[in-house]
Amino acid sequence: MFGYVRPRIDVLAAEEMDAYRAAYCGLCRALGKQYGFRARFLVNYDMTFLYLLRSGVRVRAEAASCWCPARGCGRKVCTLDPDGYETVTACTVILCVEKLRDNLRDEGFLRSLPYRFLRLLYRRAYKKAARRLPAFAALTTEQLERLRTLEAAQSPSIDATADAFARIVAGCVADLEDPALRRPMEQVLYQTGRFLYLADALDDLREDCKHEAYNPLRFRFAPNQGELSEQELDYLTQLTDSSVNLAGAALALLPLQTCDRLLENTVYLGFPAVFAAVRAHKFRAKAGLAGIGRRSAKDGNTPKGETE
Amino acid sequence: MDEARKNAFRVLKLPETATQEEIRAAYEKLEERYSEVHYLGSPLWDMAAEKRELIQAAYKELTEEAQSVQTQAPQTEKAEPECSDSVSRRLRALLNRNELDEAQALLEQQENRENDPELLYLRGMLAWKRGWLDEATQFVDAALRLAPQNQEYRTGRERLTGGLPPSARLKQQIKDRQTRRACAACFAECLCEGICEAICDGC
Repeated sequence: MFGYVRPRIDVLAAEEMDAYRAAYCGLCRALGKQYGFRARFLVNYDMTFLYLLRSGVRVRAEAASCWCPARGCGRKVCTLDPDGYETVTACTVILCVEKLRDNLRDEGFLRSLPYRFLRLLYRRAYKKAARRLPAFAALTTEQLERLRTLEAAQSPSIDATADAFARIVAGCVADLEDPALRRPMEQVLYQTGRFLYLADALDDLREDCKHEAYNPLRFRFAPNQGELSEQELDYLTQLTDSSVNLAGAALALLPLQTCDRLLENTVYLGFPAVFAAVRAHKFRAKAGLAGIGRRSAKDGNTPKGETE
Repeated sequence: MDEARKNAFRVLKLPETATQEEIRAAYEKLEERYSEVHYLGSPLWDMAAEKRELIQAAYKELTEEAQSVQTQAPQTEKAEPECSDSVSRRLRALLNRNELDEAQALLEQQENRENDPELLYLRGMLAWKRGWLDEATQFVDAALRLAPQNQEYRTGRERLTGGLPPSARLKQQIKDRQTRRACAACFAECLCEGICEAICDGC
């Protein structure tokens, strides 16, 4: 989970912002109800997008005021849609635990200790989620294995590595039976996965060059001290713009009843804004986030903290 | 009103009272939205083509003027360049039919033609259809290095990364929203003025 999938909330209408918040808090609540309190910490923007995409083709679920642990005694409006959230929560748990496993493999014994502890903490939740979505759990394991093979071979192909990750993300809607819904959603998520992988690769490039860790951009472009030239960055921007356009075109084929603007905002404005921030090395710096996923501090409308 | 007409209004997302101008505007908007240009290199081109056919049929149903609009059939078979040999002709046919695995298998058999610009270009097109844009760009660039004057390769290269920036498509949406906000502001202003007028004669 990277937290790269977020709308440009500075141009969101108030009711769309409310719907986004309610979906986010609803996911947090559903994780707690289905996988126990600790699973609430896995809530993130990326999976909120998945919920909005899956539920956008249905009539909007009702929302109610719910207890919010991040606020202590406070309450927040959240979407009540247990059936709609069922697959999304299972995907969230599987992806987060697989991410922990991946981090665990990349680190030495001492540095991997926190990941080992967290994996232990979410073991039961993972088993439950994998029982609910066995095909998705198998696909994730298989594609991560493929990714590791490519990494071990130090593959310079950004397409091949991004494809492995994108297939995992697209697998989040493989359970849908109607091809008129499944095919466009798979394409939206495939391109989202491709975008995520490229954005994350660029974000980590400096660190990876410093530690001589695998990064497809290192082998594709041979950067100078972790920096790509302007021409290479422009080319990468073209690649991500293409993914954005293809995801947007796929979105247009969905019979969206709700959240269409919110989803379009995330794809057409959120993705390029995030990539521009990553390109300018401002994504990690909180100060640079205004207008990407949060309103500026003076608005006082920042959504509650997310897992990144 | 018959069922076909009602259905046509539904397809164009219009109320049944829409005027001819509104029908035309909606038709043009939807034609642009599902234009072939947006689905180049997308596995969903067939769904977009179906959608375009639906929209054109609905427009034809609702307007007499549209009788003259020619229904654009999805381009499944494209004209092939004269220089194509039998392998490249087969490859082009497979790519046009979106039979990508068969095209990949045929390309893998052509080991002795690694520096053939035609095959490099087709490898690029295959990668593009799979959504592997970086690989596609590299193959088409290689083809262009070997045959820089080839117009088809040049056009293909422009198509790969020459699309509109994502924000351009959404600009209209933001403009719409700003217009609506302005309308809401006008409404509030009118309401305030009305109340003011009623209470204190517009002081």
